[in-house]
Amino acid sequence: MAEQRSTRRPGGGRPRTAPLVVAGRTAALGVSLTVLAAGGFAWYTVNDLNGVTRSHALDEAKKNAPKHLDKSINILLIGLDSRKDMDGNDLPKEFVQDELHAGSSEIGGYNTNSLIVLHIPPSGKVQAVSVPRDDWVQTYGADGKMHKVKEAYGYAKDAAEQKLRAKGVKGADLEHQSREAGRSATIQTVQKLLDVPIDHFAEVNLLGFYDIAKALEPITVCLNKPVNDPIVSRVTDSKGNVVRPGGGTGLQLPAGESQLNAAQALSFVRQRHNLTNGDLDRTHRQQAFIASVEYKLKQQGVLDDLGKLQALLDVVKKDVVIDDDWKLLDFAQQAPNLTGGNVEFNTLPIDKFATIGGQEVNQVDPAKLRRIVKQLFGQAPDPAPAPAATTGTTGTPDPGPAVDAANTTVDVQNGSPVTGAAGEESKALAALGYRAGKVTTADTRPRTTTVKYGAGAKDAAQQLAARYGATAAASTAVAAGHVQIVLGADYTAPPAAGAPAADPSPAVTLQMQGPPVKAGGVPCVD
Amino acid sequence: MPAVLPALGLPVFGALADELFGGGLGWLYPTCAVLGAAMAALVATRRGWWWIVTGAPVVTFTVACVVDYLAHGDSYQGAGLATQGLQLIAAQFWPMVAAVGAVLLAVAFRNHRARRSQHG
Repeated sequence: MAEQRSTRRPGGGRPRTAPLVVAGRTAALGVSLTVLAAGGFAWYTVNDLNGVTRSHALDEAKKNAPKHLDKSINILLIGLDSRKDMDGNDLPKEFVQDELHAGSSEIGGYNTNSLIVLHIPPSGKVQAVSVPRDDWVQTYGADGKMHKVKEAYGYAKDAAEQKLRAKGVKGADLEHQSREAGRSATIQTVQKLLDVPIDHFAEVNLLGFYDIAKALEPITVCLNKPVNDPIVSRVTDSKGNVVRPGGGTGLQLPAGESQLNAAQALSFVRQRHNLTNGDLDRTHRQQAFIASVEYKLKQQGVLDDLGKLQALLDVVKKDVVIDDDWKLLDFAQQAPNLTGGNVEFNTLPIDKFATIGGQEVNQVDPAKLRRIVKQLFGQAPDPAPAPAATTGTTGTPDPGPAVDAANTTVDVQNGSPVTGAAGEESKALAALGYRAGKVTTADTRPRTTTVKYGAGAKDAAQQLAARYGATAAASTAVAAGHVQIVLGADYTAPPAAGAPAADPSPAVTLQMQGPPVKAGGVPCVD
Repeated sequence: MPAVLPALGLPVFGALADELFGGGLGWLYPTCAVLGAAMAALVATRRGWWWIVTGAPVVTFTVACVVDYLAHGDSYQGAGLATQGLQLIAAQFWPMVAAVGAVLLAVAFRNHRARRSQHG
């Protein structure tokens, strides 16, 4: 190590350290302490960021998740309409009635009134799809029956609660553990319904929503028409039977932009009466509100500033639950991608309204929903509807083997009449994670697109073939690790994840429930 | 053995091994960093102790940053610079503390042994 220079004191005492050495030691100590302090601060920050309540609810869904075709991430946002805190205690009655405008603490169960799947591709537009809460679907992880999608949580929670109670679990533990079952059922049900893997989830309850809105108020929203939604009191007879259900949020706003406080914000996203399309308009309200919040966060620089993001998380962490696998720092890295008009919200279509078992529900065609979602997310739609679709169940097609896209080189030849199709297709496949190979013009003009593969590329070829509705065939003429695609006369460009601005909105051609809500500003809704 | 050899060599070895065989800094790197700092303190001269104590966190931090950046430079682009950087620095906090602790223990051990041999 460094050489010590010292001078011996007259009289033979302890050697005196040279001033230069003292300066060097002091500098070294300063650097060392600075590095340690920086490490300590970083450690504290990371731990604080990750201090949100965690959940294991994704574990079951991950076991049966369809495979990803690219490096995209799907996040399920769950808005839980519960008038209880995390430990199962009723929220204060006055608070629920006067601030939340959510009726009484006694009413309402555990409905997931907002379900939004956020699809973040490696590059390109972020897509968000709302699943209307009254969609009549096959539930998973609950009682295995058909229910409204919003009820999967409550049924699973109730079943788990009974079992846990029998084991002697009670109090806050009972609430925590039974809610895990509810979350798991919701995630599984949405995952099976849409046939997309759910990588992460975030659940926020009524109180959490209020706290977030409180931290951000005033929040600007925009309405196409003025709104008046008076509160109608709930009437019960002497035996407690409901004579007239209550309703209304008390929201009164003019057309155009309005500044909302936290209580009004909650009314804005919960109103379902006095709306042309009822519940479906409510879904659009929720999307518009998220877009407005995101716009405000962007304007305030919160999404670009880790410190501000941390301050916001400190406010809401007690009311938000996320999966235990989600590194919020990674999300903070992606957060800027969610701004600047880069997100589009769509509502999945319903087939018709129906009454089943006395309940008003939305009838949906799961196979159709899957095709729409796959196309919206830039994946190959299922070649044929699953047979189960006609019966209203949500059987999951075999997701197929895992594909090592990064190690598969795709050569594309253009035999189609579309000029530049091979180049565009190669780019689209590269965006899906495949390695771009040769792009050439085919010698022939085949009627259909063909997919051939060399050694070791069978799985990738099969996945790619599904994209074109073709069948993959082995070929010794194709190099190992390569897939050769010859675009035929039947070729029409499938939407690609991360496709550049050439295709700004794949949803334009898809049937959705109402117009898309575009983020990047304050969108106006009904 | 010069003290610089374990002080630098072991952390570099641990980091490279982690990146090559583990795909990222794992448990081997902090273990080697702590062992390297302790060994350096055991073989250094008394005059070198100051530099070993103050250098241990700096070496642990620097080697981790350099090796991880070389191995995963692409993840440090754009917004990743702040988030990945923060994660990396945070992950080095306890290894740095442990390295300083190991050096202080080694120094205490040598002092104790020296006193016993003086009195003995």
